[in-house]
Amino acid sequence: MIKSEKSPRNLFFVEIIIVLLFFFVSGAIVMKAFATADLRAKKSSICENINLCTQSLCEGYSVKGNIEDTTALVFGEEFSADENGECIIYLSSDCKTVLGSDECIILELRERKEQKASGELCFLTVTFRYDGEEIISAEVSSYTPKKA
Amino acid sequence: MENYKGKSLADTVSSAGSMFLFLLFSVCMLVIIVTASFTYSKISNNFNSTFNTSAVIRYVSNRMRSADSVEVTDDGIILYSDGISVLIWCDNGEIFERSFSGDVPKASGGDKIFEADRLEVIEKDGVYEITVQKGEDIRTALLRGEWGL
Repeated sequence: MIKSEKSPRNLFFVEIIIVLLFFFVSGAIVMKAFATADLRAKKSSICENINLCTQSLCEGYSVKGNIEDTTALVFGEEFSADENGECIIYLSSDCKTVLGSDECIILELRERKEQKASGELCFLTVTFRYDGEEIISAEVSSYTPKKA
Repeated sequence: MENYKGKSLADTVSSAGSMFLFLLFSVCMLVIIVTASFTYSKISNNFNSTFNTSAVIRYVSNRMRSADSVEVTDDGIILYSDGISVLIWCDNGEIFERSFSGDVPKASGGDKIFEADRLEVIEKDGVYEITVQKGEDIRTALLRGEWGL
């Protein structure tokens, strides 16, 4: 009598635990998918900011012809290249300059100058890195004629 | 009597356990639904801002590049070309465009091309600074100002 009343309840208890386990596993998978989607959306937004920043840097450099004036124009802050013509700038997700940290966008500027008879030909390579991955790389040139 | 007591305790534990598990299940499902809604709204906002303000900047940049000359006025920007010139302006949360030949028309009655709260073009140091704002999202890009001249 007791057995026959206990068994269905125990069965129901085991059933509900199995169903809950199934839903917890499904929930974990769904949460992981949401987290990935969120990260991708953030990365997509960052890539868009990087694209606009690249445009600004290229357009600015083609007018200014040097890293100092270009960075001052784009970021409102002057950055100088080292003796190898390289300059590394750390940016936040909205492409504003920040102090270096792990979650930053890294902007590498590499400048190369060629002296010509009539003036100076400058090349700037702009490379953006985010999360250890190269997002975009572009090269722009600028020509400054010699002053008479 | 013992059996009856034992049965009652087992029943209570079983019922309470089942209810607790069901409550746990409900809470977890609620958390998942809230997270899903939060993630969706975040993705949707990012998508809107990316394809609104950026699209406006790209559109205006390309129109300015393709024009022979550009004039920035209080009404908006005038893009002069050989045949038909274009006036682009922002009014009441929308960006309008109006083509014309001859005299510059008033900034009214054009075609609505985008939704944006602010479109600002400033000429400084030989470059145009294009700023577009929609809600809290503000994006800026530079454009060389000496093309084709």
